[in-house]
Amino acid sequence: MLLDGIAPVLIFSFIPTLDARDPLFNAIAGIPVIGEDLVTGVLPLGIPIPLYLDERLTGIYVDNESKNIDIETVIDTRYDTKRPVTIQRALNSSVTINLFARKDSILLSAFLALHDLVIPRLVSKTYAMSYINGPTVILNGLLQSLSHSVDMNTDLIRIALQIQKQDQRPAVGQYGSLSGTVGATP
Amino acid sequence: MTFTWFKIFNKTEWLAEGLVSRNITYIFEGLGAKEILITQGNETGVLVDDIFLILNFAGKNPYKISNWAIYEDENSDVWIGKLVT
Repeated sequence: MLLDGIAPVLIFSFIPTLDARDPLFNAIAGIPVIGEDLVTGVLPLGIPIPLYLDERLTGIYVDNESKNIDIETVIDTRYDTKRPVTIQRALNSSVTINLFARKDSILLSAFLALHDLVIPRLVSKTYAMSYINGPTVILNGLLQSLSHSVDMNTDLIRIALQIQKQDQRPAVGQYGSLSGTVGATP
Repeated sequence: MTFTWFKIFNKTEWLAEGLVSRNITYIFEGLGAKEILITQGNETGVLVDDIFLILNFAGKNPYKISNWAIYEDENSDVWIGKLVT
């Protein structure tokens, strides 16, 4: 945990996409290894925007959190007596965070606005979210869902946030890319 | 008739695995991601886009149906083809 271990922290990173005509593009692209990843957006480095989830400091605090890992398991049976082939694929590795926020929290507007900024960057994946709260850590995760509800009888707002770990590279042969050859026969 | 052919598996290796079926998703150039089902009964078949392609069906190689075709080459590689013209 940051803040001397006092409060959980949620960090947004928005990755700038560089234009190839920009002189800065060539300058950064020349840096070995890191430069290539920066200009292609492979490394999710951007300006980090931390939000501290502390009731006294920011008025937003974590009520509870849970972690889920879901795996798809396919068992291919065989027509001989040999053991079936088992193929596994990761479906989901996410953290669900339930938060409370005071209605008068200044940070609440920024919290919700930052999530809205994620929407136009979903396809390009030029954003990353990190969450650190003791043993629960997700670095460079993706937003899976966000909802908030207002109860008129209290001054608290309930927020449910799900952050997904970035996809793993799929197994070769299950999501391979195929190029085609044109003709009457191959 | 002209097809765009994609090599998807080797029949000899497939038979050696002894499986009844296998689901694979490929990203076909120009067609996007498609899920294909390879089946093995009396014959080897491929289900793609709701079209069932049976290898060497009725002695035909390539075997063509609807906008698809299936072909086995001399190396026992199995190709599926999408109709172009």
